[in-house]
Amino acid sequence: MIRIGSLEAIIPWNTFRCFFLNSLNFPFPTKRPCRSFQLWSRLPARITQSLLLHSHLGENGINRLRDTKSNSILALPLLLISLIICECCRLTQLLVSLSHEPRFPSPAVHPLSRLWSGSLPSHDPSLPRLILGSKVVFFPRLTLISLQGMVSLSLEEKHFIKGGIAQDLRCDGRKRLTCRPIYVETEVIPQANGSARVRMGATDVISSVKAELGKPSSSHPDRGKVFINIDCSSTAEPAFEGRGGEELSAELSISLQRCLLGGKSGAGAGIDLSSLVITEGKLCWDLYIDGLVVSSDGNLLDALGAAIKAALSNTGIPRVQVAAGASSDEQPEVDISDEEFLQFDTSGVPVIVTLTKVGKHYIVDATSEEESQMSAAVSISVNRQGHICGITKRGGAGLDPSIILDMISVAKHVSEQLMNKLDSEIASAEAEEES
Amino acid sequence: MEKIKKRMGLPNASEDLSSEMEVDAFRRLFPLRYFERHLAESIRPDGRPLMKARETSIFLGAVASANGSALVKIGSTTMLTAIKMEVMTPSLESPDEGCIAIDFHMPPICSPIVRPGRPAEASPVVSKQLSDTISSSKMIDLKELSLVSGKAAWMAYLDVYCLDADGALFDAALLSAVAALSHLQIPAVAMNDDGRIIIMSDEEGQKQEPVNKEKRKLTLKSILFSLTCILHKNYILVDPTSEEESIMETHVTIVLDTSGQLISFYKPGGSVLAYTAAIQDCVAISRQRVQELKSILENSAMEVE
Amino acid sequence: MAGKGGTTPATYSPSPATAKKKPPHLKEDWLRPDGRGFHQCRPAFFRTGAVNAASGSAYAEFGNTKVIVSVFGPRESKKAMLYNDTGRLNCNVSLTTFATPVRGQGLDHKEYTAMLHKALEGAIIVESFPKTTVDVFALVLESSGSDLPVIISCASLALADAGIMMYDLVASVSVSCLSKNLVIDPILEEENCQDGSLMIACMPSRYEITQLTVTGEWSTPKINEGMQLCLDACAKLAKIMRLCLKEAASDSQE
Repeated sequence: MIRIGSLEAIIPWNTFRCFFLNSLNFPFPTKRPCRSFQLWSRLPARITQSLLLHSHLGENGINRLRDTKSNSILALPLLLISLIICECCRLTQLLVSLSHEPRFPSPAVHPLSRLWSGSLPSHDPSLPRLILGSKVVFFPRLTLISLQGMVSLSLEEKHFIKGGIAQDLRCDGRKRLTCRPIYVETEVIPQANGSARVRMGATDVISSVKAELGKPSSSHPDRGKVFINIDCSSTAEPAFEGRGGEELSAELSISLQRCLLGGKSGAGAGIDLSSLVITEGKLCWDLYIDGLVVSSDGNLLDALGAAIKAALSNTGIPRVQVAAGASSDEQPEVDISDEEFLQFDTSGVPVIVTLTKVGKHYIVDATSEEESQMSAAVSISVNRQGHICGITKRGGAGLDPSIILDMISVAKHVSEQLMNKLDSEIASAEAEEES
Repeated sequence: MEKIKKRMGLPNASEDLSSEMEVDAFRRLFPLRYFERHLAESIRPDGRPLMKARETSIFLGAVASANGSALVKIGSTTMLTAIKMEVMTPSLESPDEGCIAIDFHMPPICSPIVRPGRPAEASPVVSKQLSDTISSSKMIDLKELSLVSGKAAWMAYLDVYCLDADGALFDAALLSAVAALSHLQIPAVAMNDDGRIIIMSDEEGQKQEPVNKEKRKLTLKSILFSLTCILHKNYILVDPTSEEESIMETHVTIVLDTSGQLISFYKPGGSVLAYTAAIQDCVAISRQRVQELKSILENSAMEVE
Repeated sequence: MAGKGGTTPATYSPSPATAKKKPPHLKEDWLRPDGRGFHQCRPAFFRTGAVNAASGSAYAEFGNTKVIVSVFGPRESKKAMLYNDTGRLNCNVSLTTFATPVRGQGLDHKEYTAMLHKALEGAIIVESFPKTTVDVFALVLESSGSDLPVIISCASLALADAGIMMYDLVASVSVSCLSKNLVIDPILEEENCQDGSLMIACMPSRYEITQLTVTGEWSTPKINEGMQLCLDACAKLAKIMRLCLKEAASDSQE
């Protein structure tokens, strides 16, 4: 039995669960029920807990819900869902605000119930705040509820973001060209030859470098090989679940390859491939650079670029002794040293600066809320000499060539600061590790 | 369209709903009746008589980087075949024989039914049919593909790509495969000191004798051509379009060589039974078609020269 | 015959006997292998309506780079998706097994697919086909350098042929950086030894860039020069594409 205020109903648990799945399936026309709700249904304790919260709701709120569905039994689960969400997000005060008139102008249908009944357009300004990205991080899978699994913002919030950017004062108090503070941690994966974790706000990425002995390709016998692969963990964003993150992963991997590996002839590569060769045509190091997005709050490419740079500077490649006198066509015998490591030279590794265009202006280090408002973004990688090592444009809208050139010069300027900041962070991270 | 509209208004059209319907709507709602109405007039919706194949063209050498290639169009069905020669070590059982690997692809561009990542149902069927037909006919002597007995032989990768699927896929695929084989030019190669086969270049002094001086072209013992017919009631429809194939299910495919010998005969099920008379008719039409295709192929070869 | 010996043995394509020389472009008096000037594109050939089964299609030929693009739709979305006021653009690029010098597997080209999508997405008016999907499928028949730009230009032509609303045609051109020289519309040989490359896809009438990628190390003046070169070439290319559409339209009227 479920009792809320004056409403009372007996709903068998199974029916209740079915209702959960059906009513919530509307934005997901797949047959398979959403995993997150299965997850919930396994948490009866939480639900009973949330039932206790009804006192916070106030008589007004309940009436409204009951009004909209006119005593329909449906109102109850809806209310429950909202309660669970609130409980999980510790946003109980929000429910109270649901009963406030100004937040929902002319509530012919209560927005919350509209959310579940399936008629809610994605841009509805009255979309309750409780499913809006930022707070949902307490229970990340909850964002599944938000349409498309993207950050859905109300019109006001969109205006707020855009207006802030136009006035050079962003939501988190930054200026347009200010980055979030970067935190670097190195040696996070002991098994790898080098690894680093980089955090910028809520964006959290890990990169690891693994070196293995390999054979150089026949077309470039004087070069080692580097493989870059990025994975987007489904914990970072619900949209990444299953194969959802694949597209983004592929895009990030390709962009990073473009930024770090230079042209086909090997010129301008951030990672000096010729330094990876041990015996020309026979033996070289293969570097496997893996990146993992643990939590995503915008600007993934820059964070990954920084993480890879940090991981590379943390990388020690064992010294290799090649046994002399091996015949020409056999693989030479090698002796890999356990103690002697060669520090990898990362002075040439560029940093990536992504400029996101929102409205007429562009910003660096955008959060995912800001990214959702972008018209286009250009990722520019710049090395220490101030040379461009790669550009990738993301986002559909066209850009005037002069704007791109302008962006390049801005990126150069920003990259200098970023490079210095990153270097000092890496240095202090390594110092900490040694101490 | 205009033509058809006029035809639909023929006086003998029965006074049912269909006589007042738009032609296009009728075609969509009652495809079979639409076709049968045409068949009764001994004409097909595209204006062909029942026994006439669509216009056919062959263009040899369409893929410059391949050793042999051909682009074939039958009506709007388009096939592109390219042959790439690679070197392999022959198997122990047949040290002086090469190999041909035949594959048929239906990329997503060719038809609205094919989607990326999900291969079309028809493609493995046609692929198997192609390689079975070509291998069983002994059209090619695999010994001709040998380079150095037991050491090296040619592996001919023959890939047929369907660029536009509008019925009679097998006919077009076989025609393009045969055309590409007739266009195949094998490069002159030599064996270097490491035992690898290398291409002889003209500019340098001929240090080595090519290992395949004589075998620069395949001799095709016989040339195969095929014709697909639809059997529907008592009608025989030659060279069906994809629309016709989707409406009338029973079809037979006849493969003949240039001397008119029957190489293979496929009738993959279908609701219509093929009586001997019908089959004989089909074979007779195929004979005519073979002559037609043969001259088209010869003309295209002359054009290349 | 096929598969007679059970598993197919490992094969290789025989390579010319000539020993590796120093890359020719490092010489002073280097000429492009096909005799073009540094800033001269290959002759471009476009034809719409290459595939009858599709709603719109185009064939493009730049030298030996040959591409067919088919457009299907707007049609029902196959992927389970939410209600959307705007249409969806779905792209796929694949290569034939014989497209590349080394026999490939004819697999989907994920990188090109993503890039094609990005290049077109800004040009298509997705509001004009709500709830539905437009599929753009490209097949590279023969790859001989500058594949992606050719695919993009060809795809925008196919979209126009299919009657999909666009702000403008998308023309795309790339330049390669070979030591000191910038060469436009590089062929495969040049791409294989390039120090860097710059590709632009743009809508010439609007003078907007929809896709831009740069690899290798570039100084700002060089990027400037490369971009200008590409933009000029794009404008010329778009004229050729427009001409092709006009011809197709006047043909169908007759």
